[in-house]
Amino acid sequence: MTENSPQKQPWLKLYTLVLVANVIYIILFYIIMQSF
Amino acid sequence: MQTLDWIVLIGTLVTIVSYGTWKTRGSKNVQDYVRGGNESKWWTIGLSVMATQASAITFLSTPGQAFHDGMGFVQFYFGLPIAMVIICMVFIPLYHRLKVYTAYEFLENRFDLKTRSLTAILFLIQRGLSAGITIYAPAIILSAVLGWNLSYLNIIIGILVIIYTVSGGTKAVSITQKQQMAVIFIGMFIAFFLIISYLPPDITFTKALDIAGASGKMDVLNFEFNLDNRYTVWTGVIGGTFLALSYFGTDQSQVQRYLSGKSMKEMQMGLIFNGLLKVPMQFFILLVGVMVFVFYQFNASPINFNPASDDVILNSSYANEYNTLQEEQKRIFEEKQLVIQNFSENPNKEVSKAIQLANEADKNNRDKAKLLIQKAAEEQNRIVETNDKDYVFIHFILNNLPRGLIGLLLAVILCAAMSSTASELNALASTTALDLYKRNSREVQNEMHYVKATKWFTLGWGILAIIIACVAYLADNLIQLVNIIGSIFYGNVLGIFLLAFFFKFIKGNAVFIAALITQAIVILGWWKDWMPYLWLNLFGCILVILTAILIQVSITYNETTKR
Repeated sequence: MTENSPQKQPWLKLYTLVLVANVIYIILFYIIMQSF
Repeated sequence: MQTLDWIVLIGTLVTIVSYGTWKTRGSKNVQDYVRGGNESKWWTIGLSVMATQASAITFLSTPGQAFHDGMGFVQFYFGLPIAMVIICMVFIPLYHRLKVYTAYEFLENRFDLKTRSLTAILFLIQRGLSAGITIYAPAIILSAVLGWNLSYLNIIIGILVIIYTVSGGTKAVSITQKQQMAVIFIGMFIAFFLIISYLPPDITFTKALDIAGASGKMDVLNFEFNLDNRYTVWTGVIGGTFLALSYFGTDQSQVQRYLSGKSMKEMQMGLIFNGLLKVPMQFFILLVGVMVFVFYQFNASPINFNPASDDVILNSSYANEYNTLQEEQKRIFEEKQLVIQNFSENPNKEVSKAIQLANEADKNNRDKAKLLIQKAAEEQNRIVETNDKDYVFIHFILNNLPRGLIGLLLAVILCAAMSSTASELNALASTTALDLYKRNSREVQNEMHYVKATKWFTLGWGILAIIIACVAYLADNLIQLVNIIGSIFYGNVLGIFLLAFFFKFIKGNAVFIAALITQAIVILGWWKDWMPYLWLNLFGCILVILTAILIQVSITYNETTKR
């Protein structure tokens, strides 16, 4: 593996947080859309 | 504009510019000037990245978009958090490990000098043009509604940005962006709460949302698989990821923001911060627009918000027809009042349908007015923007906010324009100085020489941006032209980066030839109108990857057979 190629990076909890938050936003928007 | 507005506006802008210039004076080396001394914390990076993306048009146009078409635009940002994670995992570790100053420097490490120079030049063409438009777009709107001189406004915005960007480089851009974002958030929150307070006493926030919902403005999500519809959940997630990946991962105006981070962790956290806040922020700006819509259900509004349209139509042979439409608009407004009164007392499906019909009639009437304005403009050989979404929010601000707050909201718009322009000039100068000038000069100079050169390039790009902004009115729909140029180059550049990251067997020659061929084909495709220009992004990206693979395979095959 050269220094120019991506090396395996650890999966940070922050990544899960931001992706879960994105899904929660979509669910919230769905609820808002259905409510009004 | 009252004296108090002028004091707030000038005071805010001058304070930010002076503080940024004073606080960051005296950069001693390139690392200090271009990477901000690598001192930025995650929240500075996050705010800086958000401030760079949010231009003045975001705050002028987005509420207007919600006013006319509802909240659906927020879907466009669903891919952004996904792109942030990919950039944190793939792009940042590589940029950080190689200690690059620009994104294109990485391409020399991975491929060769000519590929680095080519992508740097593609970036300079695209971003150089759009820096002028970042100044011009809000200036043309503000000059139209406030009667300010367009050229003076362009020059003032440009000079304010040049002062602190030349003086302090990346550090000045980051520091001022924090203050600019603070002004933006405070201004937008005050505007939001004021709009709600202006609604009739019996209309609560929930009732306001009910009225917006009955008019179809709260249709946030669209799950249809329809390529013609730009704003669906799927285009947001797939297309949005792709666009955000190319913008945040390969555009130096964004890359330079997070390269200033103290550590890799700070850079990653800064982007995650952006990924967390961007969707709610856009939702909030759109909600402001929806509340403006509800406000105008109880208050009369012009049939077209662009003040230039009145001048064009009233001096044309269509003036009588236009007056009839205005009368019709008044009638629809009065009818709506009765229906909404009914709805607030007794909300049910029947009344809700009546609101929807009244708003459809309102929209049809506005569309007819747009057609007349267009015809009137053609009759007089004039150009006028009939799509008035950029003028809705500013019209509301100028006609309804109290003294002092008008100045603050204008400061919001100008801060947004300055923050984006500063990042652009900073990135353009760094790329010119490091990727082209330093890399191609024969003599090695000391650090101060390159700092001075970057400052001169910042000044040069700033002057060019002002010139572009000042002549932009000559071109018919220049903003669209800049978007087209972006679509022509962006896909190719992203493709080159993806080849660098994920296709280890591809070498410099293959990718360089593939990039040239792709660029020529994409330009031909745009010229021959093969597809809507937004798709050129994806087309260019896939094409450069496939072409490079094909060329590399044939090069390898030839070498093997020769042996």
